[in-house]
Amino acid sequence: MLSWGSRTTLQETSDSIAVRDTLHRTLREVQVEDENQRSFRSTFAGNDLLKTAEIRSLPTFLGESDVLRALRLLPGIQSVSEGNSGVYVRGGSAGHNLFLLDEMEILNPSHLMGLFSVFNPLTVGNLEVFKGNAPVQLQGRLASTILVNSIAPDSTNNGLELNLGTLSSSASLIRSSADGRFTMVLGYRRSYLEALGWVASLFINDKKNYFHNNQYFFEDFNGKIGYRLNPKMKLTLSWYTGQDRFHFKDDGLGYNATSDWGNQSLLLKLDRNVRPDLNYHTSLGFTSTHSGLSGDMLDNSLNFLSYLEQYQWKNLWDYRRDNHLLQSGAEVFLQEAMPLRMSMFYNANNVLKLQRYSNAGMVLFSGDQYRSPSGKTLLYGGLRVTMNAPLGPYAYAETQVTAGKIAKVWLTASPVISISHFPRSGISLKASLSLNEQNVHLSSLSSIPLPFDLWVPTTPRLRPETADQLTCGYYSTSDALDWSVEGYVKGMQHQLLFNVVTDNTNSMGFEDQFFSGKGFAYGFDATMKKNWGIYTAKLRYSYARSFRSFDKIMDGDWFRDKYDRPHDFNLQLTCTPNAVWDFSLLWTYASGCNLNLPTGRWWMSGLIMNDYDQFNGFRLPAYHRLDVSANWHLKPRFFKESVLNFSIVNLYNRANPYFAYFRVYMDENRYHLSVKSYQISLFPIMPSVSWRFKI
Amino acid sequence: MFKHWYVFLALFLLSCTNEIELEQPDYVSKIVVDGYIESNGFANVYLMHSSPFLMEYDSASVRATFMNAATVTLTCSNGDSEILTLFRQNTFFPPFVYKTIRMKGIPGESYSLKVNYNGKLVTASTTIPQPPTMTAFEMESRSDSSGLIRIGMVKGAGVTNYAFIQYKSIKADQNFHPAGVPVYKMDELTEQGSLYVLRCDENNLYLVNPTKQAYSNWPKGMFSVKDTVLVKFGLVDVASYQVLKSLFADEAVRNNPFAFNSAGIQSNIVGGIGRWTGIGVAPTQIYP
Repeated sequence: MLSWGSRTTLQETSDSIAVRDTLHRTLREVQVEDENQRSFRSTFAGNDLLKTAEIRSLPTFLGESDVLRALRLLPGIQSVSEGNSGVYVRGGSAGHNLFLLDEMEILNPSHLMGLFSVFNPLTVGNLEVFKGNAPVQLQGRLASTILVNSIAPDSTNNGLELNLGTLSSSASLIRSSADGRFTMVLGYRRSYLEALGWVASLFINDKKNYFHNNQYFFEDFNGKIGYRLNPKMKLTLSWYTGQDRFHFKDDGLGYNATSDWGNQSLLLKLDRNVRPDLNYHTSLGFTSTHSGLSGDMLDNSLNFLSYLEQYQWKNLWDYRRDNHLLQSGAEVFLQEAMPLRMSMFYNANNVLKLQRYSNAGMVLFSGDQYRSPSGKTLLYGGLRVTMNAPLGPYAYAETQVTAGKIAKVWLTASPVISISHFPRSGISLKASLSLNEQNVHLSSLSSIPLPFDLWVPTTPRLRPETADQLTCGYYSTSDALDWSVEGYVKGMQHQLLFNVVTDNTNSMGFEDQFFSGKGFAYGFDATMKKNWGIYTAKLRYSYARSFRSFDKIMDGDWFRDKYDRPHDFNLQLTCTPNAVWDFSLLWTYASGCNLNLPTGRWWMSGLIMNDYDQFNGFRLPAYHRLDVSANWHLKPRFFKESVLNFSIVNLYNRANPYFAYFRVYMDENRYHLSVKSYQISLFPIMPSVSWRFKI
Repeated sequence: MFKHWYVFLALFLLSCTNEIELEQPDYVSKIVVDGYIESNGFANVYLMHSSPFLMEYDSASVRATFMNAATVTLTCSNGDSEILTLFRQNTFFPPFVYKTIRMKGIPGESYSLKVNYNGKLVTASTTIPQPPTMTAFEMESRSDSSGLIRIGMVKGAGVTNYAFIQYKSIKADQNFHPAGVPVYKMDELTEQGSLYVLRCDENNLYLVNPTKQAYSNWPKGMFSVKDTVLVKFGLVDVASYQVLKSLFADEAVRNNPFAFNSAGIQSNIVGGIGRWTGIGVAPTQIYP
């Protein structure tokens, strides 16, 4: 979470080494990087980049390209999270990913219960992911750092762009001044489910109209404005605000409540070229996420609020000399979180729970990238030290900490080393080893990640989560074929699992309601890309295993993580026969995820009771689906660009499992009893049409 | 075009339910004890084997779960002891119960249970707390036709009590069974000695046809003011409370597909699973 989005890497060219700084294009010469060569020149194993064109070439879901759906096609990232906002990277959990939109942290990256991401596809320029091994300024989570960068405005991409989708539409405005001093990217997106409810009311009565009693709405507004104060100084203001709101009402069941959740982020950044070999970057940032629920449920009045707010001041210096690029920095932060504020009128009992946590901390980091004189080897070494201090008040039996006083200091060191070697043109080998730490924890209240999941910072009793990961890879590229294979092993310590079935909730603090344990993951990813004229094929396969162990679950026995899915495969075919049409096909296959359902049964006073002798012992059926799409590039008469997209998601209407449950049928008098398993599936065949145009 | 949007939306909303085949993980059958002894009541012990969850029963295979040839011995902390006798009972499954015919529960005493079956030994122990002194038993009406049953008890300062509530509704039930929220921890944070007897929720996945239930579509937790409700209000020891709490918390979780039981279930049976509960019960209360 405490990371710096700016990144500088050494680039090898045929003649020389040039320095590329992705955030300072206007300040220095930029080497344009050939995409196929990129992975060879990155120092870190497990680093991938997706560009806008790739994201937009994929089949759309309900008329909307989606950044996270594209991200999930990358090797090492689980390809399936239907109706699930979580991203699962190399054995990590949903809360183990750091999302940075233009360097602003986004804690809850989904809209519409996980169906869409919060990133407006019209403003996204590229997406870069580090899967567990990253430069020190980009660390802060155990599993990945995901950088979502807005389009860089220039004279070629100015304009107003709109995308009209089935459930929502989005717009972007990109502008840059003639001299390049001023740049602007604005994006807005809004759903219109309520309009569809009105359409439905023309055909069916209000009682049967789902949208008469249930209104869903989401919107987001993001932007980035840059102004070059002088040739050596640039000021950038970035922001994101997004909101989901769901009102649901059912008189029969006694529901009448509104739930809302969202993110707000703001960042002001100054980039300064101090000397030709020294740059300084400083920023002030704020980010927050919240979720709430208020109203009546099951005839009980309920009011629930959860939020996490964070203020950050970051500083980064990058200094280059000879074959070295040194990056050092310091950050300070202040967090305030209320993971649980709940007031409830439950059958005449008033229940009020209030928990508030404050943390202050500092991060120091330094990393050096070195290129060997032969240019065939890149080395990186760095250290990140984090001091996180939970602040009072805390009331424990053994001690009392007053408000604002330091209750505990957690000091963690995160070293990282990485090496990449280029023995000959087209071949590279990489190895990276990191110890990562994480100072905020996502508490899942459900069997799947939901927007209502709670963020809680490190407390005196909740220590930082840590993980160490070793990644090694071999990469080959040529005009005929690109392919690569990466393997990894990861150990995870101080993992947290929220105990939803707990006792003594009145007398326990929120921090006491966690199991603490460890994790272990390993696997490999293989990718292949081949071009045949107008056809391009991409094939990705991951074998991934992930296990957990908690002292208080099954006596500490190791069990499969819920998202331990050994096989994950996707095949993407694109065809571009001419400038008017392009076609895309995507087939996805993944092993089913695991479920913690009872493994045995017995009777108590005539009731069927459960027995658990395994955790996550059941595995759902495998997931697979085929998506196709076609883009029709219309001849622009009034527009700079005009594209009609036709997509069909789940072409063969596969009923994929969303979750499963048991139903018991019994006839006691005849001693007959049977148990049947059922699955709920979300998406049948989903056709859509959307129109994207640029003025 | 609008009409087409609606079709797409309908497709989106029509998530479907299918029966699927799940593979039963390996499961080793365990000896199950479901036993209780109430103050001034005989001991009741139901013995059976647990089964793999996905196993289908018919009248033949179900017999394999019965344990009719066990030797069950009850020993009181005052030195008294008795071997329980097997009786047939038809009210619920399993159809056999081991009972004492002489020994009755005495408040303040501990009771040890020993089960010998095919060379296997299963043991458990519990205590019977002093029965609560009730101060209130009334129906608090919530509408013209429904209400909540409230009970009150004398609660000593600084004392933690563990309540266990069972009831039988003449309108809906044949037997006494645990209430909707059957166990309460009553410490200094709990409202002084006042609890509600919440009606069990019929709308769960484990009933074949919930709409046939007497309280189908009835306000949650409430009883009909025209019903006759018998309430057994008792206290249990902390070990029994923790076992019962985990069992009923699990029952609540399993009716919610989004929820999961991260804690498993607890048992106070050594060598098996289940519960052995001593209950200090107040005299049965009857509404109206």
